[in-house]
Amino acid sequence: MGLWLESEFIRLVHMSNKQIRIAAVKLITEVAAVLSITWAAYQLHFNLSSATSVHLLLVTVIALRWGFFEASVVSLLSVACLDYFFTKPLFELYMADSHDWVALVTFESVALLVSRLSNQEGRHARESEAHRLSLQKLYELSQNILLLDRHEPVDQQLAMHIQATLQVRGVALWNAQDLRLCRSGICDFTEDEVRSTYFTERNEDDALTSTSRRVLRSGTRAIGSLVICGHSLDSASMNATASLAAVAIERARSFSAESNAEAARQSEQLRSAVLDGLAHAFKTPLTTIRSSSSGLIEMNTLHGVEKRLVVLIDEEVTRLSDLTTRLLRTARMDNANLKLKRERIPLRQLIQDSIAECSQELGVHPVTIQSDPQRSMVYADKQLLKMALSHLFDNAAKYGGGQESPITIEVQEEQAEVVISIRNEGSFIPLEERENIFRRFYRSPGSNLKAPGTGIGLSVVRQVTEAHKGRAWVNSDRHAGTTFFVTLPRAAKEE
Amino acid sequence: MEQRPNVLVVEDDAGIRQSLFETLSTLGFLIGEAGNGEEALSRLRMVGYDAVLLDINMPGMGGMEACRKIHHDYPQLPIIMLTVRDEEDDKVEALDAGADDYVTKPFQIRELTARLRSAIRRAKTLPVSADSPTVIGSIMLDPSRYRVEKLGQEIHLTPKEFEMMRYLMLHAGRPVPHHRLLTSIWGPEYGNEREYLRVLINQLRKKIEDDPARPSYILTESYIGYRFREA
Repeated sequence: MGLWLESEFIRLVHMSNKQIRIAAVKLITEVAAVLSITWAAYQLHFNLSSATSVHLLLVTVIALRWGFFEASVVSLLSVACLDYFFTKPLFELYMADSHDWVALVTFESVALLVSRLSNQEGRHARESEAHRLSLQKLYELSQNILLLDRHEPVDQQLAMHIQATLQVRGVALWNAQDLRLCRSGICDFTEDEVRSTYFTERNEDDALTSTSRRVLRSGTRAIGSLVICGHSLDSASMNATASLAAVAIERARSFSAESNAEAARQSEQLRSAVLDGLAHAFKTPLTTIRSSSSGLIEMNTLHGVEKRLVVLIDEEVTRLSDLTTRLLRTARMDNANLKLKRERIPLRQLIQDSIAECSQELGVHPVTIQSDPQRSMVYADKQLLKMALSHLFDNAAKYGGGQESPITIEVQEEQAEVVISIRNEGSFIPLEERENIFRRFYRSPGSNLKAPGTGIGLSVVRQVTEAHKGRAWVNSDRHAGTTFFVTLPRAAKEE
Repeated sequence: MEQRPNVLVVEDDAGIRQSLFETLSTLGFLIGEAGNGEEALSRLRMVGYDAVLLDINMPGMGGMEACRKIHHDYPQLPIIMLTVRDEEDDKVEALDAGADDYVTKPFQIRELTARLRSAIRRAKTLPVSADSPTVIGSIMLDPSRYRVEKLGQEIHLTPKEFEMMRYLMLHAGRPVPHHRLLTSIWGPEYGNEREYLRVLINQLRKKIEDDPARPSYILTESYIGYRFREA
């Protein structure tokens, strides 16, 4: 009873203008009905018991139609009328006969009881109707969710469907994956408020503002939050709505992940096809030039300037074909799952080989190698590693101060990895540039003035080291010079 | 005067063909040309050649198929494949299809002529009986006595090491793919166990090489297999 009173009180307190108007109309109708029945009964000279039965009928009808509160008002009014018109002394709110007292108290008790019972019946009917309606809405919502357009952002569509199908005032939906808030209808919550539901992971229902907050979950993982304002649904329906929304978001996510993977696979196939075509197109003329130039040298019939020129052609075509192979390999490397052809390599030997290969670029820079006495072995792709080192040596030579400034290469064995460092003088790299220079095609401002380049080299260094589960970074100091570091996991496979 | 070796160049690209024709002719070879596999087979039926230079990527029959057919029809004729880098699988396939050797494009003429000459020389030397002693550099292997010597000193080898030495020396100068070594030494059910090979080769190198880190007898053919140096 206490609960009922409380809810009725809340209902009264929170009545809108329209509801107040309806309540007033009801009250007037009730008063009019009671008065007219009383007048008719009086005119027809009913006795107390007949008048009581007619009033009881009215109370029952009101209880069935409108509810307990209205029926109680009618019953109290009826008691007053019956007392005034049908008990002695007439036309006074006083009863002389104790039988009349009993009759009216019994009437009021029966009226209250009947209203209560019929009201309960009505409420059950209303509740099951509401339940049926909410089920129907949820069903409709799930149907709409199945028909979401996968090529448009799902969140916005979802918010609109929830608002339209559940017929609520407003919906706000926050997706934790792309950190986006979508709204539909009127829902005066800031993004922070909606997001906080996701972070606190707490579901809440606020009866005062008829607002519900739900965490969207996929399995046990929270993937977003949903706020629904001005709704008339119960907590269970809200939970179901949240589950449906979560399923829809998760489905859209896996759908887009799948189609992204497919697109990536297709573009990768295309790239390999183009690269293979390019490789062939480049290598064929290079083969002709190289076999001709090396053939001329081999014939040994040329002398003086002619011979020197042919040797120059041969050297440069060799360089060009190496460059082509290198470029094609770097292009292939964009593929995230770069295939490594790993083997155990003595690092010092590899460094010496790379230096020998870069002898032209290194020019007259004195190069020193400092390494641990024990021979460092790494388990790596020889070609790729050589390529990465060559880029670093090339860089050190290009940007390393004067023509004869020294380049120092150091190898250090750490617990789990081998650290290779390449230091040159000068070429200070500001802090904010140190990460950028590893990006493909990035060239730091002004570097064009220092040396020609394509902006590929360091991105290759990083890709190669990362493919080996290593790291690449740079330290730079205006006085001490610039040092590039590359780490590689130590050779795990023992012979 | 020594007879000039007669070589058939099979290559679809006219530029490469012409360059090879000019340079190899000048360097003492007689050159026949074919633009594809079919043409090569018909030329082989008309003229006797000492070796074939065969491009692996060709329209029509394709280098691999041509290699198989030529090797089938003329098993003694050495075939050298012209391949591109990064296509190790093709190289192994070519060796299995009967090619003697391969040269990677773009190549130096010096390397190509060296490979050509040694292939022709190998084909011309009478096949030695598998039991007669072989000498390469300072290494002597005598199968009948089950003995390997270096500079006259006996080297003790395990049975597997001996098998490996014998197989490699029998095919000296030619690249032998990993899987072929595995199947002929360990047995037909083997083929992918490169670790076994690596371990065995390292043991052998420690025993026969002057500097095992820089081998001069058993050479590594990256991603393909091993090659024992020529006599």
